[in-house]
Parts: sequence; structure tokens; C-alpha cells
Amino acid sequence: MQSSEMDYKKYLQLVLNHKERFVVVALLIMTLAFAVSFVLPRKYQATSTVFIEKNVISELVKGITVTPSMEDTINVLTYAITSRTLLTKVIDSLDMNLSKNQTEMEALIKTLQKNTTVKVKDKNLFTISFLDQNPRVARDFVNTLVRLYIEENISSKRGESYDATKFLSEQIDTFNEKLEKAEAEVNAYKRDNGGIISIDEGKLFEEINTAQQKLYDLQLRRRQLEGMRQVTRKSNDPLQAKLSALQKRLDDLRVQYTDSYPEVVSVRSDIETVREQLRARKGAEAQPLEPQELAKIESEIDAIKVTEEGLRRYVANNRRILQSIPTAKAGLEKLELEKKNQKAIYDQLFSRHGQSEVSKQMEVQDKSTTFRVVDPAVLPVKPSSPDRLKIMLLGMIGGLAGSFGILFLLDQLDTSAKDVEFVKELGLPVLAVIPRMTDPVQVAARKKRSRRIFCLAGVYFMLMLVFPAMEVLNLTYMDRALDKVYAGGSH
Amino acid sequence: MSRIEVAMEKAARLRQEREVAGEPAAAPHPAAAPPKRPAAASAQYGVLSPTDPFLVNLHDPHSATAEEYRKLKSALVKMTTGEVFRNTIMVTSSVPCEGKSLTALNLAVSLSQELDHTVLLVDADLRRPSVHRYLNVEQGVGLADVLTGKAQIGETIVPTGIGKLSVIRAGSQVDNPAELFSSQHNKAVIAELKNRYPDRYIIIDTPPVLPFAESRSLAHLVDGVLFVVMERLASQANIREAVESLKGCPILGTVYNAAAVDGTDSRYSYYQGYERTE
Repeated sequence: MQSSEMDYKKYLQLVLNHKERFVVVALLIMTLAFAVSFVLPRKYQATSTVFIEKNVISELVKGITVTPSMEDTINVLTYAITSRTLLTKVIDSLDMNLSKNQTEMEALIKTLQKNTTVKVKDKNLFTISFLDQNPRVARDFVNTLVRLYIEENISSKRGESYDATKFLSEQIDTFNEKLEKAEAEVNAYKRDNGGIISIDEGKLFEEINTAQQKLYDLQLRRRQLEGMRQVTRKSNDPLQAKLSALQKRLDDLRVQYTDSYPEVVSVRSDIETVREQLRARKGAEAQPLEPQELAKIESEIDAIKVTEEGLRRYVANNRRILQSIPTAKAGLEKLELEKKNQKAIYDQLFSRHGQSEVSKQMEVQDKSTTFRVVDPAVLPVKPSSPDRLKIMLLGMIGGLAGSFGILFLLDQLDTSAKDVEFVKELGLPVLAVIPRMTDPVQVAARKKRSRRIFCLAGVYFMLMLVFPAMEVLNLTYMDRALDKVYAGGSH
Repeated sequence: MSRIEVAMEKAARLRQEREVAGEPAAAPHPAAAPPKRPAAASAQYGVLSPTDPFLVNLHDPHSATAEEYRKLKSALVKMTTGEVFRNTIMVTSSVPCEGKSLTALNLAVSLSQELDHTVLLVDADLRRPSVHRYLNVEQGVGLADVLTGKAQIGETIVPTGIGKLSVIRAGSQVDNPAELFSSQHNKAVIAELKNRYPDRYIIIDTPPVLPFAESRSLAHLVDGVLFVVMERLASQANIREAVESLKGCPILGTVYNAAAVDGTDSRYSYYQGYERTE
């Protein structure tokens, strides 16, 4: 705080000590700034305001139509407007490219791009400005640029709608074909595997089981019959019958008696005897059985065998079918899925096609979002650049600051002893600090001189103030004078 | 009427007596003698009437500047009066125009206004003498003549009528001041000046240190050196160099001259207020 106040005082003192020099240098810098403000090439800015109009219809048919997005258009607005193609068109239509080669054209386009400004306001309004030394050129350029841009935008949007519709209808055709093909495939498959597909698996399984059961029953019956055939043959032989009886008698006896019981022994020997007889009879004529009985059994067995065979085949066949059912069903499912997909795409395409048809109609009838020129560019009267008032004001401030800077710099460059502190640093005692003594006569002379300088400076400054005043009051005397000077210089 | 006649007679008698005594002061400078003499002027000395406005201790003794010179004086007196009275003091600076002569003059005036001391101011700047200009005295026989042996010291002392201040002027133009000052004769002259009166201050105004050699020779002969630094004149390097070259000499201190006065400085505003109330 203390030191900053000291500094401030020091600087104030610096200015006060050299006030004449300060004023003169400041005025010189101001004059320079004023001169620059007039010498700088004048540039005129023409601005056109364009409104992005949203049609009522477009709001109504929202969702039904697919209009090209305005948001996207706005996002790339700046680039689109300053695009080479568009600028080239503008140049062509304004005949700006007369006697220009490739390099000059490049430079021209660069300049145009640099001088064109696009500002978007509220997403609904945008302004296009152009800066040029010739006000007429600035105006014509802006208007042409806006016109061409809008035309191009409309035609491109229309083209887009047309293209979209066209593309959709092409796709619809393609997908229609694909869908038909898929349907045909499904039908063919169904035709080929219809039997299998329609069989109920559970039922089939049950049937197989039933058949299996039946088969077992038959086998049982057959075995019984076969056994019966044997028995029938044996009971017809007396010896056999006797043997059986004896055997039976033996069994009964052995229940009650031991083997050494006489009756057991006798029965045994009897059995032996009968066996001997049977053995002796072997190879001799067989005792014919009852022929009718036997034939009946035989025929029954045969019938059963045939039935068994049939059942076995039936079971095997059904088992095979059961195994093939999943594969067949999977195949069908796959084909049907494919068909379904194609159908979905086709449906979607079809509905979109309807939307695009409406959109196309909207574009054709100009019912969608459009650009409308609210405010076409007019001939700019006053140059927008250089901002003389600003330069002049800056010059005034800069003059004071620059002058102070120069004083400060000179002071810094001055290596002489500037204050008593330095003398104290020498290591010698400072015995006295004598203030600067002034000779009244000299002081009076200097005062007179500085008063004269200040008077002159004041008058000069007042004169200079005329220029900013002229700028404020919109008087163009200076411009006209400068134009004359330039015209005179160029001749 | 008779009273007036008596007074006139008395005055005429006094004038005659002085002419008989052969006082050298008034004779060589009849032009310097002003028509109106201050009443305080001693009859023994001639009276000078310097008009230079920078002799503040003479014209404006209540000013802040005069006060500063008084401070310088009292500091000096304190430093030089001890067991031995160190009465030869030379005033110098690094480069010309730093205010040596004015400092010497104002200091001399201030000292001479004190009751205890007589003061002799010697203008040793033979190259560019200025003391006589400030005092409104014609150049005449002076130090150069003493050093070349053409005059005796007694002949060259000019009383000023300002307190108890006398002056030895630079004297005739010489070509070899450096040689004169480095001579043995110079040493003897200084010694004679120093010892002539025991209570007298000898203040020697000298050329600047850096361009000329005289001051360096003189500095070894005197009892004290006052080094004057003027604000924003000599570069800091020059000042350092000058102080360096006086190494070994009895430098009493520095006088910071021509300081920029800050109007808001309370020290000075106090003085101004003090002055106003008077």
C-alpha cells in the first residue's frame, strides 16, 4: 500500500516534471492514430437477414413425412454458404471472374470467404454479411449469395425427396421378390414334409408303446402254444404215461419213505424197466399223435408269427419317424423365420414409401420448411470498417499511455542518481539534502514557454476533436476529400 | 541641525581613519561597494552585495533550503571540532555543474553567520572560477597568483561584509592548474591558510574530480572533503568512480543537491507553514 502509493507519486512526479514533453508526444501519437484511421481502406458491409420459415403443414404432417432436416442444414450453414461451389457460382453470376487466372481465382475465393460472415440467431434467423471496399459490390454479393443459396437448398431438398422415394420403391420391389421366394420355399417344404410335420409326437409314442405291448402278448401266446404241442405229443404214448405215473408214485413215496424202503426200490426198478422199454422202442415207429389237434396248434402258431412280424415292422417304422420329426420341424421354422423377416422389412419399406411420397409432394408444392429473405441487403452508406471513432478514441488513450510509456522508458534509461537512496548506498553519510533551487526569472520564462506550449497543444487538440465529432455526426467531408486525393493520385 | 552636522563630521573622520590604516579590501573594488551599506557591516571589511538568488542563506534565511544548509553546517561543525580543529574543508563533485560553488558559498555564509567562526572561502577552481560571479566581485588577484608566487596570501583575501566571511578569488588565468596544485608550494600555501587563524574555517571550492586532477591532489591536503551529488546529473557509475578515486582522503560526507521537492512531503510543508505564520 505504502509502496504503491509511493510509486503512483513517483509516476505523477515524472509526468509533472516533463509535462510539456508528455503533452507533445501524446498529441503526436494521437495524430498518428487519427491519420491511420483515415488512411485505412474503407470497407462497406452489406447484410441480408434470412428467416427460416416453418410451414404449418409441415407441423401437421409431422411424423408422416420425412423432410430433410433443417437442423443439419443450419449446422453446416456457414460452410455451405462459403463453399467453393456456391462462391464460384456467385462469382460467375456477378462477372467477378473477368480476366482472372486460376491463382487469382483462388485468392479471390479466399478473400470472399474471409469477408463473408454468417451469424445464426435463435435457430430461426440468420444474417449473411459481406465486407468490401465497394458498397455496391458488397450489396450485390450478399444478395446473389443468398439467392443462390436458397435456390440450391430448395433444389437439393427436392432432389433428396425424389431420390428417397425412388430408392424406397426400388427397395420395395427387391424385397417383394425376396418375400415371394421365401414364401414359395416354405410352401414347398411343407409339401415335402407335410406328413411328418403334422404328426403328433406324443400320440406316436403311445402308439409305439401299444404295439410293443401287443407284440409281447403275442410272443407269450406263441410260446404257450408251442409248449402245448409238446405236451400233446407225450400224453399220447402209454409207456410215457406209465413212466409219468411211476415217477409220480416215486415222488409220493419219497415223501414218506427213505430210498431203501422196499416199495421205493420196486418203483425204481419199474421205472428203470419202463425206460429200458422206451429206449428199446427208440427208432421204432413213432406213435402217431392226434393229427387234427396238432394241425390246429401249428396253424395258430403260424398266424401269430405273421402278426408278430407285422407289429415289429410297424414299431420300427414309427421309431424312425419319431426321430426325424425335430429335424423337419426345425427346417420349417428356419424357413418361416426368414419369410417373417423379409415380410417385416417389406412392410416397413412400404410404410416409409408412403411417407416419402407425401414428403415429395410437400417439396414439390413448396409446403415444407423454406428460407425467406426478410431483409435483403441494401447499399451501405457508411463504411463499417475502419471504426474511426474507436481508433480515434484508442489513439487518444494510447497517446496518453504511449507518452507516459516513453517518459517512463527514458527515466529507466537514465542511469544518473535519481534519489537520495543511491547516495546513501555509497556508504558515505548524507549531510544534507538541498532542495532544487529555482530562479524566479528562469521559472517565469519556463512557465511562459510551457503555457505557450499548452495553449498550442490545447488548440491543436480541439482541432483534432473535430474529426471524431464529424464521425459522430456522420459528416463525410473527409471521405470525399480522401476520395478526391486518391482519384487525383491515381490519374 | 547641529546634531546632523556632528554626525556628518564623525563619518568623515571615520573614513579618513580607514584610508590611513590602508585597508586593502575596499580599494581594489570600488565598483563593488554598494551605495547602501548594511548597518551590521564591520567597518574593518569591505561590503559586497551579491544579488544571486541562489545564495539562500543570505537572501532567504528562513527557507527550507537555507535550513538544509544550516543542517549541513552544524553537522560539519560537529565533525570538525574536536581535540584538533580540522578546519580545511574542500567541496568537490564527480562532474561539473553539480553545485559545488553554491554549496561552498552557502555553507560559508551559514558558517560566517555563526558567532564563533570566521570563514575564508577559497575559489580553487582555476579553470572555471565562479565564486566571484556569485558574489558580484570583479576577478582580480587570487589563488593562482599566490600559487605562482606573484602575490602574498594577505593581499588576496577579500572581505565580503557578510558576517565574518572573506574570500580568496581564483585570480589570474593559468595554463597548468594541475601542476600548481601538486606542487610543494601549494602544500605550504594550504598549511599557511590553515594555521593563519586558529578559529577560521577554510572552505575550498574545487574543480570536479573526474575530468581534472587538481581535486585529487588537494583532497590529500585538506581535513575534510564534502562530496556534492546533484540529482539526475552524473551517472551512478561516474559517482562511484569519483568516490573511489577519493579513497584514502578524509571524506566527511555527501551533499545531495537539487533534490526534487515533493510538494506533498510533510517535511517541507511544515517549513512552508512555519514560514507563513511568521
